[in-house]
Amino acid sequence: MSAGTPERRSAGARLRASAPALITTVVTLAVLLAGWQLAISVTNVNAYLTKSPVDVWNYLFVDGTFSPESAAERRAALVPMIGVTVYHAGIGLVFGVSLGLVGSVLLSVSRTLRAMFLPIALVLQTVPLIAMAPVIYAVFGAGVVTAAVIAGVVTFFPLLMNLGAGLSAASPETVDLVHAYGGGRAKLLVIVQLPAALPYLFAGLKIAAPAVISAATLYEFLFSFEGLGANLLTSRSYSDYGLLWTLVVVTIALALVAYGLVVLLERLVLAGRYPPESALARRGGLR
Amino acid sequence: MMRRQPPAPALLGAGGLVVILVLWHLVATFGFTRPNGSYGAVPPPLAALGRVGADLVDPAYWSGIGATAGAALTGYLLAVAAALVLGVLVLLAPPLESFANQLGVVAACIPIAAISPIVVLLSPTGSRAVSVVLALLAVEFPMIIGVLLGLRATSPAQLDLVHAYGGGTLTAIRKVRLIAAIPALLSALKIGAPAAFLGAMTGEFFAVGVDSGAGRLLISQQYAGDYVGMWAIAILASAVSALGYGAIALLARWLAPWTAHTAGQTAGALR
Repeated sequence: MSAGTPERRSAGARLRASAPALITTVVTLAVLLAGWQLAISVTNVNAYLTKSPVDVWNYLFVDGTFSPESAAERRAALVPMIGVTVYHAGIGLVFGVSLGLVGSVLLSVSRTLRAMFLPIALVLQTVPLIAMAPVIYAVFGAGVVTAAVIAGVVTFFPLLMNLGAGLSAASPETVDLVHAYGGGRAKLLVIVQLPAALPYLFAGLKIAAPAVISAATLYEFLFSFEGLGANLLTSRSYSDYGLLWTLVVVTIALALVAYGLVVLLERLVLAGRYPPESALARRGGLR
Repeated sequence: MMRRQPPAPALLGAGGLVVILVLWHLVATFGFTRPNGSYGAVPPPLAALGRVGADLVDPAYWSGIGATAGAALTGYLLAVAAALVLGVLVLLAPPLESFANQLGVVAACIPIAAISPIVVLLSPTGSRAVSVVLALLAVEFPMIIGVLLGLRATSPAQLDLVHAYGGGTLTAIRKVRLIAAIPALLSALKIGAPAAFLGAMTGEFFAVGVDSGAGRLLISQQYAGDYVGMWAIAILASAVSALGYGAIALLARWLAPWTAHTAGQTAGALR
């Protein structure tokens, strides 16, 4: 990531400054795709099971290479799957972000709550929660609630920890200023702490956005019959390997796009408003 | 503000734990217990803990958790090796840093359900390859970030000092850069340990022909409707993850006692 500069700049200038990062991303993806193609060409793997990037391209855009005949028809079949996964992931993201926001504000406002629950939160965030998906399924059954809880679980802790750090990131001078002008706890929270926490919100979202795609597809794979995750399972059962490899690429692309959107939003929202990321990264977390 | 608080009193921390256990018990008793007294999807904490005790004396559980931990360790070591190789490459050619960073981001972004079917497809039946790959991917991002932070930890003044005394690049690496990199590396190693177990356990949901391991136990108990058993496995798996973190933390304190204070800050930067 390119570091910004402290002085004010327009959103456009900020975006142009991120061009080198974009180029690195494109180069990285090209290297990975080339590595995949090379691995298939060099090793003697089963061409029926293993598809190359070229095969996936053909599946998406070239008529007559896979069934059904028309590539447009194959693409059209993918759209509802992507829609379902985006829906599951979106609900989970909103759920996890809301809980993380409420939790971090409560922990920031009340010293007692912080002393009571921060140690537990610190322990719980190292727990393999996503591996507990079957337990969550047992409690909430099949349906969008389970998807939201599984995706929310991977969002909640990164948001809680990052926002917690952000809410405590305002400088003591700013806090004193609010107090000097007679501002209370609520005023401090709204005009100082929450704005100061914005960069930390994006740090948390960068972890959470790809993680909800992963969690949503995991839910679909294990417990449902719709979405990208479920079709990853059925395409393998039907030995439809062209579809399987295309779904893999689409799912990974969706997670990368989710990450990229957060980075883009971060650059637009924070444009010229905050010190460079490198200065923030050095500060301690909520501990 | 939070950073300048005195450490949380242990009493309040214990109080928080009690509040959660009581809430859990109430939810289990009034929300999930059937009229005949048998437990539903949320068993009371005491029942789950009792089952953990029973599981602990059952050798089948030990071998299952051991198998998962073995796959986790393999993936962990591979991820650490890969991150160190990338670190050496960045040391030799600094422009590669952003490339290494992006590789870490891609590893962190790859959805579990996307990579698993491919690994299962390409590995023989009964192989734990999918657990190893998921463990590797879970560990890779924190490791790469840890290595990159470690490489940046040396101040220019320290390097100037080595050069002023006639030391070459290799001396600088040996005497200054490696030592400076240790706190960030140790933080990444600590964060990676539970992540590896998570990956290995999740991998067992996808593996074909694998019938032992913590993830497999969880799935088989789900099929059997053994809810107390599921919660017991969840608690055991959490304990193993915490033990992994604790073991690395102890090792770090023993090998590099001066990192005990700085580790927390670097861990904050890693997240």
